[in-house]
Amino acid sequence: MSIYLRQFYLWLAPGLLCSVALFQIGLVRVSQLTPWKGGGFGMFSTVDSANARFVKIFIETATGQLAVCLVAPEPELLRKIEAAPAFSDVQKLAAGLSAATWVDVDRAPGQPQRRPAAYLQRVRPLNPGEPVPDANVRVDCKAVRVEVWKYRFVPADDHLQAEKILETTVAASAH
Amino acid sequence: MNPRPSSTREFIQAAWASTDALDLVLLLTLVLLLLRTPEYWYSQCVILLLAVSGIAFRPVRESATLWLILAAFLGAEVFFHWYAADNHKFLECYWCAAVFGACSCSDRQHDREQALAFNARLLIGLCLVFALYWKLISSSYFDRAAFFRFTLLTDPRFEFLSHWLTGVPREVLLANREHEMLLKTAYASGQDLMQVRLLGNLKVDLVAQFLTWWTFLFEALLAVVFLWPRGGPIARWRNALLLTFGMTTYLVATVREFGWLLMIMGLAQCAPEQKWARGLFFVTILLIQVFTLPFGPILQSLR
Repeated sequence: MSIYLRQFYLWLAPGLLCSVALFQIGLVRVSQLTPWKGGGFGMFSTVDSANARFVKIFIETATGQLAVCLVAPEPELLRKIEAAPAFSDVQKLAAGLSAATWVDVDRAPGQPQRRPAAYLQRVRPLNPGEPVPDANVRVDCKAVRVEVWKYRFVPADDHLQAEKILETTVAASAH
Repeated sequence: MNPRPSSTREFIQAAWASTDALDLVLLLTLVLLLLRTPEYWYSQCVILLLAVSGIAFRPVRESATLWLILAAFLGAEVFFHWYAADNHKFLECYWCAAVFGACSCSDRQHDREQALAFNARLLIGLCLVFALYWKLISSSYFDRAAFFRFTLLTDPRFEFLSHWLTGVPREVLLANREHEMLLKTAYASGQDLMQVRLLGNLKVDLVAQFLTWWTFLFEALLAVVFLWPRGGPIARWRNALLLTFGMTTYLVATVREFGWLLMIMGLAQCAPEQKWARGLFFVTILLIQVFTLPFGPILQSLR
């Protein structure tokens, strides 16, 4: 075996570790990737983990009211958005939801209780293959708004402060 | 012919003395891969099959090809899910690549052990260097020990330690977690909640400061001794420091896979004459498994 090949085998794993970790450092600088993820060993160094980011999804109805989406669609895309929020992914999530059929959660069969008056209308997208319900349960969607938030910890008085980091609105596509 | 051992202790001593160090490292790595938290079934079923065949057949686990395939599958997992993969998933992939490299660079057992020990020392040292880098540049790590202050007040994994060391009632820690959740979900009930207060006491500050500096200095010390290029007095501290790190850190932060992996690498970098250290690394692997038991609720139920 040549000495070069032997050195390659010896340094393969440490070389991989350094390359990925340096790439992750660059990625955190140019994007909103959390230092906890991406293979850069930034765990237990900052409050800004994927857990500190969260997504709010609203729909604007045809009547001009605002409704809130209760279920978490596309869990893998949501995980990605929370760890590394990027406008293209938020746009993709909103575009996917804008094509969905929406139903009022509180008017669905088996939901006799009405929401409190102060609450926004609560909706969810129909799953693929799910039967389309009656017109009075359906909600006409005009646009979908997706917001990405994160909180930071203020140690001076131990409070968590939420701030919006990304937002997009996509008009509903006709179906 | 060896004399028959007269007691269980002698039997264990004899068995341990005759254990092939490299084989033990390979076996423990395969057991780790077998028991790792499955994230994606399509790769885990292949990893499971390979790990079982490696455990069952020695020639298979000594083959470089097995480790190359394992590294490739683990690498594919982190490549396609880089945003979700924890750091130890990356480290598992590098470790399999290191075993592949060690098995490929020579047919001689001694050379393979040397190559693996070299890789183990570098991987431990480098991952600690990057961990230190992130702590140094973080705006919330040293500033009033904000990271550990937040963690002590909200992280369920630290609940027992936090309650025990600071005296903050468990109900308060639970309420802090509920407040954190409320910040994320209150919008669904029409509330425009922008901030929530976490409750604690003055002792939280002291414990957070201690954890901040203890973690940082211990990691720095480990990075220095593991990246120290020569042997001598500094290198002699490697085993003792890594064992202390394993027994203290993973008692609190129960990240079993990371702890196991560090201890397996610690075992791999032991010199042939350090049989006692190899034994302690093995015991620490078992302890890290024990640490995952829910001690808080168990102690609570005994009161």
